[in-house]
Amino acid sequence: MKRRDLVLIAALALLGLAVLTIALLQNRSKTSAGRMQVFVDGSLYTEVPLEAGKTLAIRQENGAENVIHMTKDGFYMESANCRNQDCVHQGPVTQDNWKTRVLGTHVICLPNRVDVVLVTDEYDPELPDV
Amino acid sequence: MPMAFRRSLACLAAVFYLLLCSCAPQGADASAAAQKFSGTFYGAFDTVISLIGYTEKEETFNAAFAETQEIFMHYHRIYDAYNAYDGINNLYAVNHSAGTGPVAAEPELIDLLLYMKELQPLLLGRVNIALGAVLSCWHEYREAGQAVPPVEQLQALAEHCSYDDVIINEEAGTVFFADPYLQLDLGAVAKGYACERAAQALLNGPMPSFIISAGGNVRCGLSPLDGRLHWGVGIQDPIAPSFLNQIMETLYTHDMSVVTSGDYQRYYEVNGVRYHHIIDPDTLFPSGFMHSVTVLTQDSALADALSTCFFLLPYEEGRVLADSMEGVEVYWVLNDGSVYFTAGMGPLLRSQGASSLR
Repeated sequence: MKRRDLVLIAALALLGLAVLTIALLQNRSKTSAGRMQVFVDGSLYTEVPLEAGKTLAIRQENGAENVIHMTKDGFYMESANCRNQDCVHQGPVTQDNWKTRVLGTHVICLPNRVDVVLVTDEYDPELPDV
Repeated sequence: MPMAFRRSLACLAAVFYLLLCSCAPQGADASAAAQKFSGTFYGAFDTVISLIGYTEKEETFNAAFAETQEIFMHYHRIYDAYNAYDGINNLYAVNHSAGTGPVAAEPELIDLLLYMKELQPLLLGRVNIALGAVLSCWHEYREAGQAVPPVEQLQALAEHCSYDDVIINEEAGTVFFADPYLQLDLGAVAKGYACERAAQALLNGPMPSFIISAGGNVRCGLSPLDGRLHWGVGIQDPIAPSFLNQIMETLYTHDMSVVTSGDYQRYYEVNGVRYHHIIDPDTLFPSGFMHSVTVLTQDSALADALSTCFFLLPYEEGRVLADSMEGVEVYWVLNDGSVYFTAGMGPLLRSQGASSLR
């Protein structure tokens, strides 16, 4: 094997490593623990990073309004103008509690058709699907 | 080709292989190309309905999702007791005019009425779809949220709740109420019946690996294509405060329905007393035998009707009934928090050592 072969091999290996690292990092930021998704009527409305103390208001044309309060590792429904207030009573979702919640990573406002989801990349085959 | 150059090429190939591996979706190693998709829709049976499915192509999922939504909406309109729809002879239309003479009813409505007639002996008179007059009275008081219906009023309405007065003419496609004050209520079974129709369409289509969740009604299709054998279905702790919405048990199964009836699901409070929505046909008041009961059986309509039936039976009587049935397993949470389950249910429960993998 010649010297320039070694150089080529080393260069390719480095390139591979670099691309691998970038791919991994991108993957992590995509499914980071610190994000939440909001679905309105089944369609993705927005996906935002969590910022403790910040609120996000979802106002729809039909007058429906939900206010989501973010925490350092989750969120809760602060208020909603829906008739049953179930979403407010569903309490907070956090990185600690979602595995034991019936609704898992979700807080759902049925009358307003708002579904807020904590993004998590953890996979455990024994967790319920529904 | 010089040897050294060939080695370089081999090395290049190795690097590309490494790159490819890093780009493959996670968890897709074991079962080839199937990926997990999910979608949610609203508007049918006053609940949120989710579909999760494993398939190779997104288009396959999208088509299955659209079909599922269509089936649920179709049955929702036919079994809707509160709204009229143009050109549909639905439950609302039948309740409105079957007291004055035979009226046309959609075939899907006739089918469900006949199905419930067939189930009557099995349900021990606990689930009566002719109880509509009593149930709609409770519904109005619950919506108002101020008071409990007077006993005398409920008793007067209960005089008009005999299923024998529902005259179904299958050939003519009509329904007639021999008692003009009779009203039908399909709340105990309509969602499960629709869910089973949707499940059958999925099982016979290109995405048989799925799970449908329709507010307390779960229908599992064939095994998830991610290496697991079973789907996991969470059973809610009926005693824990609602804001915790705590899971108390996980049940692992596939190609089965799991339906829970509970006193925590739909209720209102008057003077600190909780009144839920499952009414005992004898007392005409919400039943108080237990907090919740979960039924596992293949057919979602049967699971739905049985969960109401078991909720309205004292545990001891329900246990005898459950033990006498083939292919039906039951899980009870009684008022003191104690848990009982049938022999076939145990091996499916996480607390008893069950796993999604075997």
